[in-house]
Amino acid sequence: MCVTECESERRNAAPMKTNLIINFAIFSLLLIGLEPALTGNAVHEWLNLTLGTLMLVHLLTHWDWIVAMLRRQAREMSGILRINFILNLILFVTFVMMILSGLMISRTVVSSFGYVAPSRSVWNELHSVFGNVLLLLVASHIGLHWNWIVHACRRYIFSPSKSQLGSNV
Amino acid sequence: MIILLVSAAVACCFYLLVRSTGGGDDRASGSAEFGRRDLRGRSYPDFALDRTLQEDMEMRRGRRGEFSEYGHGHGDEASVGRGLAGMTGNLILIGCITFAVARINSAVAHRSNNRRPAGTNVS
Repeated sequence: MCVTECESERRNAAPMKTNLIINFAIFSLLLIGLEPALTGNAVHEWLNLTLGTLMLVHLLTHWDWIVAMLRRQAREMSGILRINFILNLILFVTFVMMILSGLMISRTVVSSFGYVAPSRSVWNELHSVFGNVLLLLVASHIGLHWNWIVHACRRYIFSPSKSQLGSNV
Repeated sequence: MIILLVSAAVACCFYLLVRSTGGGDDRASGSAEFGRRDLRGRSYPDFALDRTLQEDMEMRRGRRGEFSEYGHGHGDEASVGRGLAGMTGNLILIGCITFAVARINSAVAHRSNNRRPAGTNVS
């Protein structure tokens, strides 16, 4: 009995730890990336492109969940699950739009590939609006997953010895 | 608790309003120039074309406190103090919303657990 439980816990432990590290990295990069005044424009652009890559990794690590949600009918989902799914969907669209508008007003990343964006004013406004919306959505996303974050932090940051003990049994 | 959540929501809205209008920053966003006219009645960007190259470069870098082409009023160069202040504001905003959503989430989960028949609690 314990062997099976410990085995499954060991199997789950690695993705959970990886998720925690990736999520912390995403959050830190997002905080810095949302404040271009802190880093200057060139670093801001490259940093947010890195953030985009990390978001892709985040999506891929949760790919099973996404597929499972897409296969489910809307009425099969519970209220919170439905809200979570819709929020994630809007978050994804906002993030893509944020990256896209960022590329359209880019002066460092895009121009290094020899492309000059034609008009910047509309994309500037969009980039600003999507930035604000992204901030709100990310905060809501964190709030919805707060229990998981607390659980993972307790397990790997505040008392890592216990989890090590559990996975070594 | 409700008062706390409402004041947090109001503070968030105010912060976002200030953030999106470029307030608190001595450089207005580029869009503020649109529709403006100079003393000779020329509208933007016509009057902007009269600026000397030196002025233009300074404005683009956000040094003159007038006009930055690239939204948010930020120039090319980093300003650690302003950046850290903005980041702290973002962090406080994220904290408030996270707290509110987490509280609502746990309240909803608690309520739906209480509605289930005894022995079928899901946590």
